[in-house]
Amino acid sequence: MRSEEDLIRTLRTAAGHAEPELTLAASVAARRRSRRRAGWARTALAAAAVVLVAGGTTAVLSDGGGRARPAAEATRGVERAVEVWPEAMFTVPGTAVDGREYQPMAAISPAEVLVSAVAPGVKPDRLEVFDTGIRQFRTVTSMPKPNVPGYRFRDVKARDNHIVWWGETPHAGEGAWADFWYVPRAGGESGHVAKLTGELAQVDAFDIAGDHIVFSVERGGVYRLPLTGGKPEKIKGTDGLHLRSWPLAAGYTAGESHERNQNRTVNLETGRSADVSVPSGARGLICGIQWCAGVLDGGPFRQRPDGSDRRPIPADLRPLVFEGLPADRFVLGRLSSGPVIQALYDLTTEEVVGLDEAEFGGGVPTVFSWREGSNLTVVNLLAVM
Amino acid sequence: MDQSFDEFVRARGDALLRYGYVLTGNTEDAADLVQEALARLGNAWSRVRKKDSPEGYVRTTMVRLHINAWRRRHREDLVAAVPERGDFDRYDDADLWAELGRLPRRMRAVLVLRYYEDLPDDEIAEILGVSRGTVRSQAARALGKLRITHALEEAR
Repeated sequence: MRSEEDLIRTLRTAAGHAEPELTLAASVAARRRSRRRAGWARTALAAAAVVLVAGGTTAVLSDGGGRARPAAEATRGVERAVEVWPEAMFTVPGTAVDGREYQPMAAISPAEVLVSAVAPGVKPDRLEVFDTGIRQFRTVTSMPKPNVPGYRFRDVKARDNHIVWWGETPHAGEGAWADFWYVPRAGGESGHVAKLTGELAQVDAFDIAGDHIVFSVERGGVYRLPLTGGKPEKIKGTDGLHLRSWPLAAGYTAGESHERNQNRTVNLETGRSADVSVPSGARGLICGIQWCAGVLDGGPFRQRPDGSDRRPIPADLRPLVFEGLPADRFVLGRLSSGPVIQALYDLTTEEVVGLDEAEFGGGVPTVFSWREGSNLTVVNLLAVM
Repeated sequence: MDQSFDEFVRARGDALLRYGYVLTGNTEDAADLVQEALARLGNAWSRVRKKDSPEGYVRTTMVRLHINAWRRRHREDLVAAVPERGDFDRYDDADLWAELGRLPRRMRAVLVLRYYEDLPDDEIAEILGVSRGTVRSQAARALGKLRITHALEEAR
């Protein structure tokens, strides 16, 4: 047996392994400049998903302040989104006329982006849609503010005539709950759909299917909930499945959630299940309809779900794991060297496109944004040609 | 205002990185956590400096961020699965460090607050927003997983 002194000594010794960061103050300043905090669970890579580590040890990465390190050859040529995807980028005022700050949340079509409006220091209280065709914002609804400290809005989606978002309380386990909200896409008053507790509060993905919300939970299992409210009902045969975008759900091999591989894709409408070809030694394999990406033999790779077209992704892109591939086409990752911090790898063109310190909303990101002066520059992944 | 904040960052940065390292188990996440918590502190600097201890604020922010804000990324433990082993004087300590990396975040945080920060259980409970009983049960389970006897338990 060990003693508590062993633990104390181990922690103190380990603390000594921390690397001093020479540019910490600059990194913090850059982070403060580039972001405004709000109630949405927005994130830049800094506090983001886990990096799928290629190789057996964690490499130390460059950060916002550019921690001193040699730049690798591979990232020198990375072009930024503004150069590669002008068709998918637009600039809007960073604040509404009433002073609320805009925060892009999700792309809902190639021409429309859902945006929340946030009064300084409070949670978002208005949802708007920006239409790039007519270059105008349209108010969708006022967002109620649940009177719970730490309540966080997690993700929002629009499908057909509906918009749904969900939020959760901060403390997992003890009395945790999550709730869903609905508003017609045309706008109007938002309605509380349902409050979920226990295991059902551990939502890991959701979508809208006709007049239902569908969602899966961290333990696995897909549930259906009428937009008009009521009790969630588990969809038959979905044990262990995690929702992608309706009607697709993913099944995984056994293992730790972050390392397991997606080994099948199930169409919940038809019940058809298609196996994914998982190469031996793969980790964190995740698939959309067209593509899969993960880590194999110490490096990131991509393939088709049937295992064909299996090839390495540029080695210095360390993929982040999400519950899906953005727009079923991109791998979001972090560059392990060079001046560009985060980047998207386009599976269709094999380009690596730099995103600097862009922020993105909850769920699988479809929109990235950053502030430049009083304006907001936005990339809509659905508009990338 | 910002000048005193920058001074705080310079003076306390290394200690916070060490704290971040024992919380997260790796350099990269430690740096992210410290930067994020300091950015939040910076935005609240004038208020915190008047009312609270900036050091306490930033450490509490770090542990809460680590447990709550990152929780949803449920594949988050991959980094912890390959912890940086570092140099330990005793080989057993390297093993213990590796096992710490496999604990759930909340459990590990309880141990870090108790045995690295040397905080009493009621303060840990306040920081984590749980009851003192939960802190004790989490600590007991964590120690059990690490096969550590409870010699110091009575002092809590």
